[in-house]
Amino acid sequence: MNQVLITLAAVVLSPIVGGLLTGIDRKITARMQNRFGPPILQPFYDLFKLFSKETIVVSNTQILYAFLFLMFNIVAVVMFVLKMDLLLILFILAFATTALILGAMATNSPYSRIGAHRELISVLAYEPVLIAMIVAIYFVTGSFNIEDILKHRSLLILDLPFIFIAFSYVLTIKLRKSPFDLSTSHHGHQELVKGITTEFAGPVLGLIELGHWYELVLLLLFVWLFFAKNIFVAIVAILICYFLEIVIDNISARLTWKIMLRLTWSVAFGFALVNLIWVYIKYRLL
Amino acid sequence: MASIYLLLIFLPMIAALFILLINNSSFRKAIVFLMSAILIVVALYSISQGDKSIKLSHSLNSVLEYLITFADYFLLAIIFLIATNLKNKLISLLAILQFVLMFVFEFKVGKLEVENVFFVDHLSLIMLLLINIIGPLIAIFALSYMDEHEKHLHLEKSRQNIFFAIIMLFLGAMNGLVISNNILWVYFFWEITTLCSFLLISHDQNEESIKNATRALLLNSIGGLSFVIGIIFMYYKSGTVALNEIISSQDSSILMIPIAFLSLAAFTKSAQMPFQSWLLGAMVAPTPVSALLHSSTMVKAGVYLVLRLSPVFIDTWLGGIVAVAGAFTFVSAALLAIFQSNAKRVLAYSTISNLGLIIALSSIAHRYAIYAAALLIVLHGVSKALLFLCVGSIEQGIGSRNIEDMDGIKYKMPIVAFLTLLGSVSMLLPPFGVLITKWIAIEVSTQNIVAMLEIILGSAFTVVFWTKFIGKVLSDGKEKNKVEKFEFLRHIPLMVISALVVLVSIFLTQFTNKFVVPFFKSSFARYSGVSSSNIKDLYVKDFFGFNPLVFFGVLVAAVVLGALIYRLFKPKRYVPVYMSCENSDNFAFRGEKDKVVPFEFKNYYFETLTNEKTVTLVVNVLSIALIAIMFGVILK
Repeated sequence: MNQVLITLAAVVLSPIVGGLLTGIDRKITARMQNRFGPPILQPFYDLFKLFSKETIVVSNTQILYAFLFLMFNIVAVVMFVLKMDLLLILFILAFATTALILGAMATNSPYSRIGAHRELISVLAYEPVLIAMIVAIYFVTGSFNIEDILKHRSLLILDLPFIFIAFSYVLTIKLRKSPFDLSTSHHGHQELVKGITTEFAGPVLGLIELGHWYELVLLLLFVWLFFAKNIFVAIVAILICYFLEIVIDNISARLTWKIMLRLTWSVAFGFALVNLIWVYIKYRLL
Repeated sequence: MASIYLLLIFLPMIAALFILLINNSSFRKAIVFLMSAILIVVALYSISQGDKSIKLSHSLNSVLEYLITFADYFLLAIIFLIATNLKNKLISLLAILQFVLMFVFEFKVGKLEVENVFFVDHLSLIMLLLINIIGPLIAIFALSYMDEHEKHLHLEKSRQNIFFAIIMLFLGAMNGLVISNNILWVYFFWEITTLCSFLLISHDQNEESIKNATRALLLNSIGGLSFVIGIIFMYYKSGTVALNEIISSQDSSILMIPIAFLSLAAFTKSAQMPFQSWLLGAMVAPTPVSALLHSSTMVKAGVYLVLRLSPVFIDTWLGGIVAVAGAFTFVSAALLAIFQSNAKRVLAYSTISNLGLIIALSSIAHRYAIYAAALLIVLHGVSKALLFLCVGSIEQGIGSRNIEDMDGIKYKMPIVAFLTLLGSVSMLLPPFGVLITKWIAIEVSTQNIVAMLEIILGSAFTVVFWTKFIGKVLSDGKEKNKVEKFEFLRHIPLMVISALVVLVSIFLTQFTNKFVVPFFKSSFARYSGVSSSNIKDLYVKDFFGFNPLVFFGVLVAAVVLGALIYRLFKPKRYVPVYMSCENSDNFAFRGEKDKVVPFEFKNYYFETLTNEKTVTLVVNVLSIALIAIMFGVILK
């Protein structure tokens, strides 16, 4: 019974938190650009408006993919709050992205296909880092299960500082923020045509937007994992992390995919690797 | 009981003889159907009998012993003749070396009789299932395919009798390979598969196919030589040539040298780096050949051997390096697949990659790793058979095997497109079993950090090339004319294999408990506390808390929910794609002076970053280094 309640709470609360954070993001971004900015609740108004529009599509199957994107994200969040296997959660998250990519490739639109391929390149960049992060957590705690990971005696960040840096790095890609907002941009300052979501409109776009909010919550839950022992520290860490992402988003211009791939594979994966090897030696060999 | 196993080996071979001699289309079709039915029934019967060690009567055993010894030399002589014909000195040399080594060895040690001629455990049963169900289905598909294929070639005289004879011979040899206990017999059947694959690859008899077949023969001859050396070392180190005695041997350290040589042989057969080129070349052959080589025969012989020998070298340094080498193939083949636009090459690299994963899993000392290895052999076999046959059909349907030409394939060939989709999704997404094995691979590979890093990277690459492939199969195309006609001989085997793809994944836990756990229990008795722990603990209820049935339940629920949502969001209006409002239609825009400019968008193949050639060179060098390390470790 308890689990059902937790699931329900996660399904209902996540989009609210995600939407609010997006609203805050827009407000802070506006202030950084010397604008007044929309009200914090603006993302919700946008979403309701999207859902009130008539359904316009290029191809029928787009609806399916948008729905799958949302569903996979919800499943991933639910699995997280039910404290299940981290690796599987990561796989599910990857399938959400796959669904979005397939949705963009389902039409013959050049813009959305370019977006789709850039998203694929992003997957190529961040996926190894994310898996490395989970394996490192396994080395420290001896489990892939969140349930057991949370029983770890101290803050995970103490053992995994470099992994955390690498994760924050790929978080920029995953949140599709500058300088790595290659597949689509959340704000209008980078491009006129919105890449991977170009061909989605109305309620179908609404599904994707909603999916993004779940995705955001899940990613921030990953941040929480590093500080889980102390809830206060965790909240502060999440807020700082998110604020930093917004700052970086606003002070940097988009980089090309080649630079992204090189940087992620060398810097972020390098950081993750160093940390991975030392926890391996520390917890496995010693 | 012995007759059942003899039937499995010799019946297809006899059928091969008939097919070869009587070149008549309807006779051939009848016999292929009949053989398929018999093989499936006999295999299922032998499976219902469970683990068996078969002793033959003394006289029969001697006759077979002499027959196979003689046939072995005969086979090497044939390979030698082929090599002379091809003017390839290296293959000739390798054949002579095998011949001489074998001859001197058998002359010196005398008669090497093994008491239990057939040693059938649950690993053999898994292989029998795969060989005798998928193999015949591919043969039936080939009946329709080869008719069409020969029409394209404008042959005056059909060569189909040779083709189907070799396929039958191949299936018989594979059956022999997986149930023989005497490693000399295994070697004999191993060499038959080498010869069969050479003949099948060169079937079209044009310059390219002969060239590629020659390469396959060369690389597999290296493997053959390595196999012979492995056998000789095995005999001198342990005094036996019986597989069942070897895998229950108490002192595995003395067996490291033979195991290394046998692993090398397995690497060549399973097209591991740096021997991958023969399998890529093999795709010049008619597509059913590729399907056969990739799913139920040939390459599976290599991984079978590694998994068979796994109890001996697991938990040793050699095992660690074999795991690293296998995982290396997993990652590098997945990387190379990203650069491919040719569908068959994508599939080929994906096979190589998965075989690498099977080898890596076979050599990681963890119960679930062994489970996953055995499961992946089956899961990969069914999915890849389906995919190759589909790509073959697409190639005959649209005249191209290039992924870029598959835009709108869902309109042109709806059945095959859907089955291709099923096949590729089953290799990547939940609830299908391949994903579960990949998941197990990452979780268990934490034992071996180098292999683990390789698997992490490989897993990311895998997502990329499959998503690109699936995206194309689902994409929209300009031409929407249906070119597909329902053909009984072609579509029925495809649908049966598709059903198997789904069924294996749905009943994955049941399959594991029925086949994989008994194999583990009998072969790995010395390891991981199998003997001490309760046998019941070995059975799986689920995989890390996830039951495939739940997965599929969720899938069905999602489909129902999706249908409901679809009704809710039913599109009111269809619009053309966004083209800054300058569309002509969905495939062209209005340029200067309203001139219609068609556009096309191709998948990314990362040509600007690097290319296949460079990557191949680098991974070949690295994999040769790994093999050198493998041999370095065992030498004392």
